[in-house]
Order: sequence, then structure tokens, then C-alpha cells
Amino acid sequence: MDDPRPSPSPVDVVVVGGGIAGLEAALDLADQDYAVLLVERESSIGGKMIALSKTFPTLDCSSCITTPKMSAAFHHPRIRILTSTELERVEARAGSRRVHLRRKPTYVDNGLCIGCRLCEYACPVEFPDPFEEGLGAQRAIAVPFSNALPQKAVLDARHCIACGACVKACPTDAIRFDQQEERFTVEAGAVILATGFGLNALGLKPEYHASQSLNIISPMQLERLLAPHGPYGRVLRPSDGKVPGSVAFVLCAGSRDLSLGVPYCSRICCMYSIKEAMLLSGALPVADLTVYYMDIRAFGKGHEQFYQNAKAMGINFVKGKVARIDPVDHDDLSLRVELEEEGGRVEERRHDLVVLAQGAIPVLEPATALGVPAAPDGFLNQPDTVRITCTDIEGVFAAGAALGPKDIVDSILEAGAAAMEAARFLAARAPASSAAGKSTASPPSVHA
Amino acid sequence: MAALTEAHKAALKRFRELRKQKGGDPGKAAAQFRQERKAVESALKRGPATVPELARASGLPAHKVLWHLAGMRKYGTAQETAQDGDYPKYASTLSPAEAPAPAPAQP
Repeated sequence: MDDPRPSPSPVDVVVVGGGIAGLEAALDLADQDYAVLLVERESSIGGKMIALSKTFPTLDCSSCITTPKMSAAFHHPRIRILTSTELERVEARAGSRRVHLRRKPTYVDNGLCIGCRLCEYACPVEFPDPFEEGLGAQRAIAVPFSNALPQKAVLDARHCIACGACVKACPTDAIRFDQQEERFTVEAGAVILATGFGLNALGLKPEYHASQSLNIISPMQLERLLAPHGPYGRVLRPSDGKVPGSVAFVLCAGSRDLSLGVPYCSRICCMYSIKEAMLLSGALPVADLTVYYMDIRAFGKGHEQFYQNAKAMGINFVKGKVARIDPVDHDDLSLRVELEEEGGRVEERRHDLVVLAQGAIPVLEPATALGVPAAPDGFLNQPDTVRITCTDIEGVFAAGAALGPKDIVDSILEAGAAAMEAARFLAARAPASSAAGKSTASPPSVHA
Repeated sequence: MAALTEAHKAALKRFRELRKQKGGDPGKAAAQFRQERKAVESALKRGPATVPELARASGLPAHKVLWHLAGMRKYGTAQETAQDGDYPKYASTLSPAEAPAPAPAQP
């Protein structure tokens, strides 16, 4: 349940991150009757997965899998959810973990807001919608997206002109322009970090000129274009609303590259690019689709077959590293590519939309958040090669892409493992009188 | 629709002051937004058109027109109606009274 009031009451486990890994870990623990506090820095739970169109290699609808998990966690009597709340740091002392959190103002009293969106309809300002990766428009006060949880309006102070139209429109007088940032601390028996990953900047490689063309897009932007309720309702290129006739995917555009400081493989790009190409071939049946790759890493269950299916569907796979991307006339792009399978012949190829597979990078700074050094790749260190969800701090566990780039299936597996480690840790430290270290306090979720 | 109380007005005032201290002023961006939106709405008054056609009619860059159309679709004031070659056509769902008057056609 979403609780508008931060409370310092102790909980069994604090799960940091409300993406698929955090949701799964929270549900696994709450189903064992542990009292869980789930904190999410965005204004809705769901993480990256709720924004995806479909998943690989099964082409299942992504939100159809994520939404029930979000709902189960949101309505679970043993899970309390704090959105717009960021982890500052975890302070581990003998026997206790103090989790320092910061709740950003949403300028809405969630106890009063009924999610009717009348404020949103009344708001006169729109700005590039972050959920639509900037491609759509969002009002300055809005429910973040259609299946967001909580279904509560959030005001964006950077774009609001403070005209008061939302206050006048709100039937429950829920808008709070005097809301302030709050810092508070929660005592937890154990902590699970499921903070996910970030993506490095699209313009990181100057030779790709991403800042000079709106038709060089990120894979997440393409996910939104492919989503049934995406910003344009169909796949169009952002520069001029044209139905693209020739789309290129450039793999390893932000990872496996020492010069970018990202020498590792991001592990998900080959497969999501194949998936996106497959979905595009459905959305744009006559489009010419080309994937430029160094090598295809289809190592998971069903992945190789997925790759072979894509080739059979007529998607072109070209082995070769793209050296340059230059904007040319008609908003098109020219790719300079060395064709490895044609003796290294260099060719200029023209496309009208290019998708760059950005590198997956860490978002959590272990030094700041935990006071311990990161692993060489910048992600959380895994000191135990067998118990991979343990961190350098006793009682603090981690799951999903916080430990390194990985796909949804692996993130969910790790979330289960981290929940198990946390449960074992709590049970081992519990006094004989309590049942496996579970808090006997009533469910910690009470609406103000 | 409720009226603003004194408490609301005081909170709004404090909100504005606090933001001013932080150096943020979204007023300019909001004014530009309204101007552009009006230009797209008025260009649409001449009938269904593609993004490049609307860009020429409104004097806005095509990507801005597309972005405004995305917002207008979301909030129900525009819709896709047909296809012209590689470009979908958009039409206004506003009644003539609601939409701003069309700008004089550019030579």
C-alpha cells in the first residue's frame, strides 16, 4: 500500500528500488510475513520494465507481466511503499541497519488525491514526458502514466507556473504547494538493494553525432514508439513524423568500449535490439531493418532460436562496427561501416532512423550509499562468488542490475535469491521468542 | 470547481518565491509552449494535414509540430485521420469556436 506518511517505525526489510527485481524481492519476503518497506525514487513503481513494449525471447506483453506484480506489491498487507523517495545511505552498525531516505515533494497529499486527473486536465503547461522518453507531452501536474502505481497526481516544480488552476480543479483539495522535502531514517533488520541500472548518454560517441539528429534514438525511445499507447500511437520518426522506411540498429554503441570507460558487455542489447527489430517488422512490414553488430551474444534460454527467427523474418544482420554516423539531407542518416564479411570493404549506408544500443551503467554509488568501494565495473561488489546477492555489508543484499547488467529473467531469479538470503539472515539473528525474526507489529501501512 | 482560499494563495506565493530563490522560472517556457500550441491549432483549422505541411503553415520546426500533436492526441484535441504517402495526417477535434483563428496562408 502506498503510504503518504514517512514513519520511523522499524521494519524487517527495506527494499530499495521498485522495478521488477525490487517488487519480486518485496513480494517474496512479504509472502513469508516479513514487514517490508519498498522505496522507489520515481513517482511510480514498475521500473524500466513497465515502460517496455514486449519482452524477449517470448514477445510477451511487458506491462501485462509487470502490472500484476506492481498491484500485488501495492496492495500487500505486509508491504508499505514510499514513492518519490531516494536512498541517501545505509548505515550499518552492530546488529542494526539504519536506512537514511529522502522524500521529494510531489505537492499532492496522497491521502486525499483520488487520481481523478481533473488537475491534469486543468493544467495549462506541457513539457516533454519523461515516461515517453521526451517524445510525448506531459502536463506540469499529472498522474505519471496510465498504469502508474500509486495513481496519484505529481506536480513537477520545474515546469509548474503556479497559476493555481489545479487547486481550483481538485475536488478533494489535495494539492499542497507548501510540501517540503523530508529526510528520515528507518531501522531495518535487513536491506535489499534493487536499484537497477542507468544508460550512458546517447551523445557519448561524438562520431555518431546523436546531438545533431532527432532521428538517432535510444532503445528506450523505440520501446515507447512500439508500445500500444506510445507517444504517437504508432512508429514515426521524431524529426518530422515520417513512417520510417529504413531503420538501423547499432550495437555496442556505449559498451565494450575502453575509450568510453565501459569495457564490459551490457548483456541485454543484442537481444532487445533483435526484439525491437522483430516488433518493427510487424509495425512497419515494408521497412528495411538492419542490425550492425560486433558479434551476437544470444546466450540465454531460447535466445539463439530468437536470433535465428529474426534472420528468417528478413531482418538484415551485418557484421561490422559503425565508424561514423552523419546527418544528411531529408533528416536521414549516413552510416559509415566496415563490412567484415566482405573483406573489410567500407560503405556508406543511408537510413532514416538509427537506434543506438547504449551501455548499461550503474546508478547507485556504493561508496556513497554503503561506504564501500564498487566493483571494478562500478556496480555493487559481490564478495562471495557463491552467495552472489551478498554485498560487503552484513545484512545488506542486492539483486538485479544493481549488481551488473542483466535481463529480466536473471533479475527476478536474483531477487528471489536475495529475499532468501535476507530471510535467512533475519531468522538467524532472531531471539528465540520471535518467529524467524518477523516483526510482530501490525502491518506497517496506514493511510493518513 | 473550488475557489482559491487565502491559505492556497499564501502557499502558492511561497512556492513561487522559493523557486525564484533557486533560480528557476518556467514562465518563459510556458509562454513559448502556449504560443506554439496555438500556432499548431490554428494551422490545423485549415483541415487535416501532415507534420511537414503543418510545419510550413505554422512556421514551427517539424519536430515541434509532432511533439505538440503527441500532446494534443493525449489530451484529446487532435487525432490521426488518414495517410499521405509516408506521412500520417492529423485533424483537430476542437470545434471551430474553440480553436484559434487560422493564420493567413504563407506565400
